Amino acid sequence: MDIRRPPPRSSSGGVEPRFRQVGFVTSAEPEAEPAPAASPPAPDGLSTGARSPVMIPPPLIPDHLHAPVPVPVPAPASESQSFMPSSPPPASSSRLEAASDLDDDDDVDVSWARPPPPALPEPYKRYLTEKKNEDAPASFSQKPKLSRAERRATQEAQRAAKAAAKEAGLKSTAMASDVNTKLSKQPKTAKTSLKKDMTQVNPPVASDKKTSVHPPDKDRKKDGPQPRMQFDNAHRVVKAKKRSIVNQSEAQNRVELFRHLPQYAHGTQLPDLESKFFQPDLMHPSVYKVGLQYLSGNISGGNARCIAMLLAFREAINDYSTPAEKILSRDLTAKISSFVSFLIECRPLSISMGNAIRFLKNRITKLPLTLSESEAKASLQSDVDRFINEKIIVADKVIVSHAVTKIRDDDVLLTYGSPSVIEMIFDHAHEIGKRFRVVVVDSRPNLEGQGLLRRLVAKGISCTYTHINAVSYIMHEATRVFLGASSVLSNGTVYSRAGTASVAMVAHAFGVPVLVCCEAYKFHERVQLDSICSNELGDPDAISRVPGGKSSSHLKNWADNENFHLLNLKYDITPSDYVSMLITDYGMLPPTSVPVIVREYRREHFIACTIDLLHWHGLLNHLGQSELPASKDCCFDTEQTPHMCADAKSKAFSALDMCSSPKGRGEPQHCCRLATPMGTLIPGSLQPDGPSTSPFSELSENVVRN
Amino acid sequence: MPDVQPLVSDFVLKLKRRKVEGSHAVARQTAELLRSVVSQHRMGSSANQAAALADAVRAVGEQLIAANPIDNALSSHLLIMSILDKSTFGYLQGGNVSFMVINESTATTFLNIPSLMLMKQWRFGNYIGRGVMAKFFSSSTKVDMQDMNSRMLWPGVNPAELAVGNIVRRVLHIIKEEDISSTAVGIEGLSVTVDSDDEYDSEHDDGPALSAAVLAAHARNALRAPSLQTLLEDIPVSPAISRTASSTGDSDGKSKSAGDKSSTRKLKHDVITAIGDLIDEIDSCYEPISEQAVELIHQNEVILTLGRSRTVKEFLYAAKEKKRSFRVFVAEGAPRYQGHVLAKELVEKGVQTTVITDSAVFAMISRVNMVIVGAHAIMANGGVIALVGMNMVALAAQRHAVPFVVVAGSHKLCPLYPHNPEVLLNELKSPSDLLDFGEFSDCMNFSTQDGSPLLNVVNPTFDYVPPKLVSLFVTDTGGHSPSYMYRLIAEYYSADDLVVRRKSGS
Repeated sequence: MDIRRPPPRSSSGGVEPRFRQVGFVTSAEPEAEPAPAASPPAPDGLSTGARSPVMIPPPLIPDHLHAPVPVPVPAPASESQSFMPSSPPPASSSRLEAASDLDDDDDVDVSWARPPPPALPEPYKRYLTEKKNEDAPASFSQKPKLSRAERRATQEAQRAAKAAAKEAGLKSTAMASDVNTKLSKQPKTAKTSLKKDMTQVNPPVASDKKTSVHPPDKDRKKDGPQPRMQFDNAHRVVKAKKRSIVNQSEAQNRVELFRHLPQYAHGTQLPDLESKFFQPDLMHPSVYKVGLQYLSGNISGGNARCIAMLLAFREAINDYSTPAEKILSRDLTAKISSFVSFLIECRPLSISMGNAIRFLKNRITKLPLTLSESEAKASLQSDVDRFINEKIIVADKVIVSHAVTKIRDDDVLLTYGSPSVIEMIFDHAHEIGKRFRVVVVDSRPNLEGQGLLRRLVAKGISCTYTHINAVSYIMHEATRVFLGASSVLSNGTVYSRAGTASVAMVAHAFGVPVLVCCEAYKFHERVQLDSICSNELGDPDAISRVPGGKSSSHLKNWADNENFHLLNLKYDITPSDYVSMLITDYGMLPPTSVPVIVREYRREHFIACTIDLLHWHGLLNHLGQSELPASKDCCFDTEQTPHMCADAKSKAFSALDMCSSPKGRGEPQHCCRLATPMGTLIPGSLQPDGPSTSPFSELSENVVRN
Repeated sequence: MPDVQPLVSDFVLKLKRRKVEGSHAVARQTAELLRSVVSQHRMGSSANQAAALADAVRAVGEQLIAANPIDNALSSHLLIMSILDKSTFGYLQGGNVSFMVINESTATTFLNIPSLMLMKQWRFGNYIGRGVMAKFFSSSTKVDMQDMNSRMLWPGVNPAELAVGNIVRRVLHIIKEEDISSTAVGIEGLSVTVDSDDEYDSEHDDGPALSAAVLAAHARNALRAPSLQTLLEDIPVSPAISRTASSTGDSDGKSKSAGDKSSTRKLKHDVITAIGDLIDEIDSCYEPISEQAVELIHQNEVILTLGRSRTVKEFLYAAKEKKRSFRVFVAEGAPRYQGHVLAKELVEKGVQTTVITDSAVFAMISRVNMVIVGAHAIMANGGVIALVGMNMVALAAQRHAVPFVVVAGSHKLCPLYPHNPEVLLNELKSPSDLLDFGEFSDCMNFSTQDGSPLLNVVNPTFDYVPPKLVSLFVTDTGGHSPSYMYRLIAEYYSADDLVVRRKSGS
């Protein structure tokens, strides 16, 4: 996650800061506001709004206009104070840029070191205090007065001053300030800069040692879809390099088309990092460990990476103690950011991890100031636990329970790679006695499918294994294609392991239904049209290594020739029209309704962490037996439902599944439209008292079979 | 023909063992073999020299076409790994390693081997070399491999090198044409009385006349071939006979009596020259194809290809030599990774080349201007049998409206219409390309109740690309659309040779 925005964007979001502030402030009484525009998820809703038209709630502006009114009302004094910094002066966006870029290294340094900080060098201290002053009391009064131009100007001035100060006093600063950190870090930075041309660093969310004084501010920025770091921007790259822990060396012969993505030579930096493992101040050991595991590829797969990261954070939170003169919510956010930037250096974040981080930071910012440190920590840890449990583990269970209904006896289920959810689905279906066969399609260079194959065979599931090239051959046999996803973007495209798109395409061409299983926490409001703009580049050398060593000699010294490139793409984009159905923990939906889930999911993120997901899922599963909680009712709201209905016939079944949610039952006219492509259902059967569920499931079965 | 039989069986063996691979090599060697068959054919004094010659060729052709590589017959049905008990049995065959693992009882029924001791000791994890197996087979009782194959054979699978059949048909067609033309020349010679009886061997003077006659015969043949009348006429009797009879009409007897012996000699000679021309054509097919490269590749083009094809290589070389600068994405073509070879070759010529995994084809194709691939065979409907994975590439290209160009020499034109080509015209290779047996030895001991194996590995060689996905064929006769292929094929083959089978009656 990259918090820095290019200037045009920050300037374009003129209304954002104020609107965001509304969100944060009102969040004290979130449940009270049912209207979508009330936006407790303000940062999110807003940022999504900026990107995707589907999610722009029209009444945003009026809302924010009268929003300051409720501010003082619900918030107790202490809380409002905590919110103050979180609703920083409007200059925030540009300030943030400055802050996160280079300058305020003082803070985290200090906070991260366990001992209380020694005296800060003069300019930094001043900056710190100045900022604090500006933050706390002035934020409200000052905000309306400053125009953006003014803010911008002050911002520039500050930045210039800081840059000058930094240049002048960096070394002395380093020595004088925190001995612990600086001593260990200084030689490293020197080394890094020496190697500058060779090294490269990932998006500087906030470096390990530099973090902004405005964590909530930064945090807010993270909530939106970030403009990612573009690695063809030499300036940024150089900046980022300065702060790297991981000395990534750039791969040779980079592909022109992918200049904007980081491409590293792999395997070089691991020993170096391992040797640093016992430097206690560098990074929290658990985070460090996870980072190394990412780097070496020991942990892969969206869920595994996300869980490992969250557990590491949990441990780090456990060991955390707020430094003196710091506020936990801000300092911890900063620290998390530094962790994140380290992890990014090890391997670019997956979208699911980004979402998890966003969640965690949100929880941190929302901590009531009244809590003691230990209480806050406990609360955060339970939040993390709950996230892992609800969003991943239980979500997977729900997905499995949905997906299993789509498996019939004598099915041939094709899958690609080794998605963890799909494996669970197969296991479960096997356990409940369904007879089916699995086709595992695999591809180079990782050959993850072999692991899946081995596990499935060990469980007694009959498997066929083949490479992706043979997918057209094997697709004749398949009756269903189950695919995993790294993320589902709000235009319905599926961002997943490279090759997924090909498999889905071939399945589409052969008329085999494609079911993509993805936990809702992996959904993202970003949109993407091709696999080039955002992707991850793997180790190019992995391509030259051929199993069996047959022809590896052909590519032996490929890097010697500048015309020779190897490209190891990690992800690709599956267009939504190849996807027949998405199976999420919110039920089964057509890909067109992803934006709804994204929006509702965000809301839940902010409001409804208290609502028992399990309970709700139970409701979804046992339709007609009880009612949904009110706040969930809008999950499949009326604007979206006709949209789904209008979808192709092949998607009707998933719409029908949707339709069996209480909202659908409440809206017979939509259900009617849903049913018409099938020609069998009448709206009456959708009425709550009607015998609705069984014909539905049958119908969906029929459609899937076709 | 006892004198050619060793040659034939040698080639058959080579085909079976996959010593000859790739349609170019196969086509060339088939043509050479047929040339020697024709040259060693003793022309009898029977009335229908051409028919006799055609029959001889047909007999050889039948053998060649039937020479499906053993391993694919095995593997295609067995999908290789099946294990019932601990007693496993490995089986190596030909130049290509293929594994057949069958249980004890099956092995006994198949092989009648008195002792299964050896087999019991052999575990799947131990990859055994050919020597061991050979020893095993020799030590055990006489195993009739052919019998085993025929039992294992999946009836109807005919995935041989299609080029063999193509060339056999081409040669048959040549014989027919030469026969017709020689008769025509005979008529000419008779009526004008220019040529002496003995000087038929000298080609100089009657060259133009001959070529004109060939053209005429060509046209006639092309016109006649599809007509219902000829079909009805031809099928009951040996086609060549009736063709000559019908085409020459009443002057038949006269021409025969005029120069029986010399016309025989001439026919044979002409056929041999024509086959020589065919071989030359096969050898030089790259030139006319690559000449068209400049017209199809523009500056800064981005080209994607899959695997390695010599035609594609020559095509790209030609464009490079004409100072076009372009970039090539090469999908590696797992599991044979011939794309790596192609990439290396292209880089040596200074072409900017990027190797991608096959899975990244869909991701990259949106930035590609043209897909240029080679083919294994082009079917009569314009479909293409090509390297496995090609259908995926073609679908992706269609999705992004990227032209999908197939470059192939005319010896790859196959006059058959494909039916279920993914299965019937495919060939399944050893699973060891995909899975390391050593690593997966622990998964081999599972099976379901009904005895079928739990783990199957599918490793097909070819893919079928339907004609609607192909934008253009570039052959040595120029560029053609898929819908034109049937017509092109009609020029090279005669309709009654589609099934190469000896007429039992004649």
